[in-house]
Amino acid sequence: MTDVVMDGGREVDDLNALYAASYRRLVVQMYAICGDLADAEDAVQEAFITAIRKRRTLRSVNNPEAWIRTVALRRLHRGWRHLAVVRRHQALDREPEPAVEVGPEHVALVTALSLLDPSQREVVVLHHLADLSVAEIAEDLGVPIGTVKSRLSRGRERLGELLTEREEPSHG
Amino acid sequence: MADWEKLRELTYQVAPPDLASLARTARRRQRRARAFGVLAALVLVGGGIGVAAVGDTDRDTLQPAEDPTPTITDTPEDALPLPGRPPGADQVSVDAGRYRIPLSDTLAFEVDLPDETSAHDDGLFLATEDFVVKTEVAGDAYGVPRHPCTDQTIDPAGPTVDDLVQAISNLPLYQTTPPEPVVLGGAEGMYVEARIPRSYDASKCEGDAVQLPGNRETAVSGPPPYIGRWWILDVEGQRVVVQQNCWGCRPDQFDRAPQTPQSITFTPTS
Repeated sequence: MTDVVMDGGREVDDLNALYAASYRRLVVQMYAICGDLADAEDAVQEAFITAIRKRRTLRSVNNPEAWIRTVALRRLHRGWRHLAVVRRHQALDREPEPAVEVGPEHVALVTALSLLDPSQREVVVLHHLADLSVAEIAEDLGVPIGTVKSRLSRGRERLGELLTEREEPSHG
Repeated sequence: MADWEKLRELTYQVAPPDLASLARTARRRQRRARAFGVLAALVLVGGGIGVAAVGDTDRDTLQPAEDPTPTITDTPEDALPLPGRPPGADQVSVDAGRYRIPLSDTLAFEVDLPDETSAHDDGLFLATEDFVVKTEVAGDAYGVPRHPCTDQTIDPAGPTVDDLVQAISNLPLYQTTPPEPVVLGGAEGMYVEARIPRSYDASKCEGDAVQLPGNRETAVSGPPPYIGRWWILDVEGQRVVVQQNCWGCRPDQFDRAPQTPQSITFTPTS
């Protein structure tokens, strides 16, 4: 993974570079967490809009990509709380149109991830897809390191079970 | 084993929109937020409007319904229509501002929306960071579920405000406050708060969710915990229900949220 490294004292004066370097991978990370590509794109776009509006704040952070990821995650959390309920109704009327064709090779893992507890799924994705360390995840999510370790351990174990079940379907 | 590399390959299929378009949206929101802030300040000063009273943030149990925060009656005149939905989109993001939303052929409502609100179904649902406001005409078909958990079929509650208030108060599962007379947006009616506690096990319910009152075609359900503020109003002879719903909220979060429903005013359209 190519990280956009920003020195603490250096101002982020080229949002274009950050956008070009990180938009796509942030979308995929959010997709792995929420299971809906359109929602993932919405979350990341909204996070960049927030970044543009709060450039001064963005300049002051050590890792702008991490900051934008956190904003996008908050957007997803908010969405889970409310919009799922709205969509319960909307799903009757229309299916959401994905912005990108997602192949079965991607769907399998995302489907398995969707069966994890949301807090475990988030930690597993941030660790394995965003390549964040346990300490970085703890800082980003504002939870203790021990909590991240425990969620990661349980999430990995459950994900392994789910993927194994998928590969070895019972023939009863 | 999980193949994360395959998922990473999806990166190459994602097409970022032009950053300039996001920058335009950001600038527009900034301008709207500034203008709306100035306008709101002028209204507050000029109209002598009371600041929203924040409820007891430590409430664990339902208290009798209090008269909700004062209705803002002196509203700016430049309410906007909701932006059009982009093709294929199921919602539209709305900047902070005051919007006019049709309710029927003869009635519309205006409402102040905070930044980062999304409007669904042409404004039937307005989802903010803290809650979802649902506003609709509650005609003769509007009703309550036979049972919010086990039989979520909506049966009409009767045509009057009192009929509906009675039906809501009699709903099983919901903890409701005693109905209180209220005025919202110039319309008289009744106000009820309702809750489904976190401890309620909805796993035996249809869809693991508890059904809310509504019109059959627009009724929604959601998982506990649920907090709702419901205004059942008579607006120019039409029954209108405003629901401020939150799933997963604590009461103090709800109390601190923007006073969106209190900014509602109703306007005839013909």
